[in-house]
Amino acid sequence: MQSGSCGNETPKRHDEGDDMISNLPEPVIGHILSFLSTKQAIATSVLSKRWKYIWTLVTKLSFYDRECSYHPCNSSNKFTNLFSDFVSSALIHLNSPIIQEFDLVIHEISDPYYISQWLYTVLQRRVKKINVYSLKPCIISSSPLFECPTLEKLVLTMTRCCCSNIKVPSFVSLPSLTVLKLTGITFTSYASANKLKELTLHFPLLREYKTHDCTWSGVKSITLEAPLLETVETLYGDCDSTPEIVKFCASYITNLSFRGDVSSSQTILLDDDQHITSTSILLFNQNNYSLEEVWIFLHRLLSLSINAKYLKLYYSAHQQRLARVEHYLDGIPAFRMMGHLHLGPVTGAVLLDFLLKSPCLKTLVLQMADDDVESDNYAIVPDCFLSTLKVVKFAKYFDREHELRFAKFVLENAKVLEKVSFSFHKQRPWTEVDEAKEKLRLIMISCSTVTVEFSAWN
Amino acid sequence: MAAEKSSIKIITLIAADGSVFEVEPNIVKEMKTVQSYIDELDQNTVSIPLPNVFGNDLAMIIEYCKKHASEEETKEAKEEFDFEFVKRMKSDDKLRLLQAASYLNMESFLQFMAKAIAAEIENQSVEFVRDYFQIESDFTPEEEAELRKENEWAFK
Repeated sequence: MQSGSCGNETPKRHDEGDDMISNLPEPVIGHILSFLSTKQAIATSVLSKRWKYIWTLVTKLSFYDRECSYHPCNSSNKFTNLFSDFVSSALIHLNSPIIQEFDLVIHEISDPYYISQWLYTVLQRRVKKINVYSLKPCIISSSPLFECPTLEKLVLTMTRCCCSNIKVPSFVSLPSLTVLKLTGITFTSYASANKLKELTLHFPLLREYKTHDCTWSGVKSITLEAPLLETVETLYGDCDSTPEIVKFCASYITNLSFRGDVSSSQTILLDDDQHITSTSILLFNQNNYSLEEVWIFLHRLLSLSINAKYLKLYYSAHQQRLARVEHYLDGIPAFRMMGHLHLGPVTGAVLLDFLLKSPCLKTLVLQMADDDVESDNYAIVPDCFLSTLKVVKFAKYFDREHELRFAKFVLENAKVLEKVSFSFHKQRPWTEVDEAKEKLRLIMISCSTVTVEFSAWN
Repeated sequence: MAAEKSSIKIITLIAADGSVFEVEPNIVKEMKTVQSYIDELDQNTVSIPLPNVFGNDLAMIIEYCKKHASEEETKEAKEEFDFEFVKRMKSDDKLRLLQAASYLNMESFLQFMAKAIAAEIENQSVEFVRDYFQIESDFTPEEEAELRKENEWAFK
């Protein structure tokens, strides 16, 4: 087939005889191909004889099993096998001494051990970043994974809860790792069944640690030695998983995020002297713990956040709302730096207590509890109302009496308020929303400097 | 060595067509080929011939380096510059600059140009890529068919 003699694409050759691309060293062409999917990079092997093996010099690999023009439903098994063979063959032929990135997205897989084999190959090639997303469970042999000195970023996302299994030796050290994000994985210790192991994970450069529905089995405790760690996020709840206790040896954590049940309250062990500037807590109570216990748990996380500028706290429980209990106030520390507070669903009394503890609050986002058993008379005006509070957003506003009362309290007392917004609850019919808006407009007559926004729901 | 290097005030780069560029040392920091010259010399003014880079291309590379070496420019401004820089180039400019980047041994500029070229051939057919790079296939149709069969999935 003759081609390349036509068209506006024709590059001008400043050197007679040679075209531009044939002057380029093969590793440089490899750089270009590294920015393509590996599928397309390999397709360049038919361009000409010179190009047959240039793709083997790519430094980034990305495989995506749906990157294919025929529909997988036609012959699903054949398709899956073809893809697996393709990945295996590509990895065998690869010639580059180092792999910068390995990206893999799979929806179907014929053998749960495949991913492990592929990872093994790239780990041998001193890979720096691994990003695997699998819709199907897989089994990963850990020893090469936890021995790779070049690995900087490890992201494993397995969408079927905890069906994917990784075996972990009792001491793990990844000297270059900076980012670790794991979803849906069960880690199993090599320990014998009757003797639980104490695991130590040593990540001297780790900055980000995020786990989502991960569990550890056969493990007594986990110690994470990560002196540079900044972000900790542990999320549970998409499936029934039993969290384990992770002790963090780190003192510069700035971002803390937790989502889970009160029963998993002991899962994060941190030293007190952190530098947390942002805390996000989404707490469930599926096992009917008492409100006292809930506050004890919150106290632990909140007392770590005394210097936080951002706090988001959501509490979700059947037949229970975040209300005052005896002595609970001891559990809410003073937030000297707090600029952004996001609370829900809470009673007016608890809301006021948080406001009284946050003297320089600028933005408040709130969702009030369905009913306010302990209605507060809002006798004290918080300091932030006088000098700093500029934005108040009511989320899932239902136009209940106690909500309106709090709105009134804000509008009458917040002296530097610039903006207030109401996002209506989606269960609210439109006719009633109009009525609610009218009521709010009435109480806002005196606040001409405040911008008001209404939105359907959030 | 470090003291000598810092004493250099101006570096003169001479392109293949004889055009001359005078730049500050921080501009050529990324050009490892130029750096190795500088390291070998201990004069206050250094003149370096670059027989494989044309004046027009060198001017563009220097413009790029100046922008990226600047500490005053924000990250956004640099990204905006990169976008416009690529936008005004034709395909053969990109290939020539990639070649220059390879000769000058400029890691990040090389990656930048490689990415720009990759963007032009991304998701395109084999025929398009052949045209784009001006490659004449020296495979027989049978050889090509065989190769396509070997990597069947790559051509689906």
